[in-house]
Amino acid sequence: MKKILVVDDEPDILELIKDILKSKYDVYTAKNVKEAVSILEKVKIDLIILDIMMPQIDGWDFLWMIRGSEKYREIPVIIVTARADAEDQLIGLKEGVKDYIVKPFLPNELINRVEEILKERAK
Amino acid sequence: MKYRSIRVKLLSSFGITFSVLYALLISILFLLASRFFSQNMKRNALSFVKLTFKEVSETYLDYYSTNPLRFAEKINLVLNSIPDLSKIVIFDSLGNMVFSTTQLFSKERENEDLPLSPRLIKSYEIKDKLDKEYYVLVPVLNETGRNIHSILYIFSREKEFQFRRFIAIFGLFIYSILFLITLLIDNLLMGRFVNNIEKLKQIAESVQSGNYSVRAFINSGDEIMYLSDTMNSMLESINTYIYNLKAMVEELEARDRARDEILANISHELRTPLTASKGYVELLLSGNMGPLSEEQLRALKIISRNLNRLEEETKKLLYSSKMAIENIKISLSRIDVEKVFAEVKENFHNEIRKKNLRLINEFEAKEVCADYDQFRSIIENLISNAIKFTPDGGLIEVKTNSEKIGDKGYFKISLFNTSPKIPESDLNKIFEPFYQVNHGTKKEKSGVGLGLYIVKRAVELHKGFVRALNSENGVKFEVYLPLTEACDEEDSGG
Repeated sequence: MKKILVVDDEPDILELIKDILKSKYDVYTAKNVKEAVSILEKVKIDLIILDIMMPQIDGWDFLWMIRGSEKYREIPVIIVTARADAEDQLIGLKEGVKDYIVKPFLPNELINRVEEILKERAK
Repeated sequence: MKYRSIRVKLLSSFGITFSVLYALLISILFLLASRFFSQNMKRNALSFVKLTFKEVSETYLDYYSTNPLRFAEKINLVLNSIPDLSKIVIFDSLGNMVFSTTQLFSKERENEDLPLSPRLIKSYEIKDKLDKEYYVLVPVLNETGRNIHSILYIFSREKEFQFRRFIAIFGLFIYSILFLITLLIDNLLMGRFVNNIEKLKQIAESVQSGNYSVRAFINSGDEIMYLSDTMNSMLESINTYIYNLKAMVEELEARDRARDEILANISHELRTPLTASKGYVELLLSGNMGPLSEEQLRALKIISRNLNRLEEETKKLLYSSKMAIENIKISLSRIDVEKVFAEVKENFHNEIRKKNLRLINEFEAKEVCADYDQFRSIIENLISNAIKFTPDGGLIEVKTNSEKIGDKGYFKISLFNTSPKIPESDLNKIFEPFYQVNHGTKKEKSGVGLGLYIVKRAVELHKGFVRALNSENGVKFEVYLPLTEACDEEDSGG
């Protein structure tokens, strides 16, 4: 089973994403960037679902960190954001983000995106 | 009213006044001078007569009949001793002329035209003839008081006339010089005064063109100074007002921004709980979390529907905040109008059926180059608004076509729906945020009144415009999106 890391400061969202994906994937959850990094170190993650608006170290910082490291650079990232502004989308795609999902999203939407990206990567 | 500068007006009024004054003054001087001159002449003539009449009389008595040559000589001497004396005439006691000096120069005894009989002329009196000459008649009496003869002196007034002519010309000359000098002096004296007025005029003009920082510096100590001081303090208060107004506007704008920010934040904040709730409802509905009873499914569907409504309103709230709008960049693409319309219609299927509405459409223009999301939002909100306000069993009619206004082409959407009329004064207001048309019956109220505002915003993002008008039996909304070739370029560019 592919391993997915979800990073979000909202426990309810973490749980929701986990519940949506758990039947098909191994889902690891992190409440903040610190936890996310420690999981990255322990487990070989295939995809990251990342919330942008988090207190202290936000999603962009985490994205920078991943893109800066040899080890994690290749992991695809789906961004989850409450901000639907065009500007965020632009920055997101420039930073090498695979996709973005705007809150609120439907379970099927998320599953479809994750499947697509992992399939593409498998090729 | 024709414009004439104060300078010209003052100069002409001064000019007229002084020219009249000078004319009076110079005529008086002229009269006095000529009077003085002629009196002087008369006095001279009289004293000459007094001096000479005895000699003339004796010469006449002694020589006239005895030695005419000597007489002529003597009388000629008298005649030539004063240039004004033109003639000496001698009458006998009966008043007949016996001698005239003209006889000395011509052989003929002329029939001289003497205007007056000497009897009528009293001694030493001068009878002025207005023309050429005047006369002095001297009756010569013997010891017994009988008149033996009379001597008439005739003086030419040529000199006097010459003098009058001269002073008339001279007076005219003086008059013109005085007049010119007066104008010059006037101009000098009025210069500062008029300049000050012109300064005030310039200041008024620059204020008119929007420069309120100008000030007049006039220290003339008169009404103009008072005027300029008043003007300065007026400008001062205008400046203060403008400053305050600007501050007020800034504050209002800041408040507006704060409101928008709060709206944006609220809608952001609402998204997380919405996401969690909706997500779980969907998970439950999909059956992934175990089987549900009929009752539970019905309840979940109601929850789901309401969550969707909540989400829609949240979206609109965020959308309406300026901050969100300002960040939106539109990306143009070719849009299939019919398809968008069909999708939107499908979304509102239930509402349309519930109210038994007739929704008809006619797409003369089938394609538009616009931002897809914005365009869809325009259609969605227009139709949602129409559904909301059309009474049960009513009609909604959507048309699209191309239209030219001036030399600009537009893609036009017109939506008509049967509905009570909107008060004319409110036709523009309905596009403002949070506006609710008061139809009298309030039952139709729903939503937060952002739909048409969002339409307006989306249309304005495309540099188009939108308007509402009352038409027969209903209300008509017209959206104009400028036609653009941006999409064609993209196509040809690959």
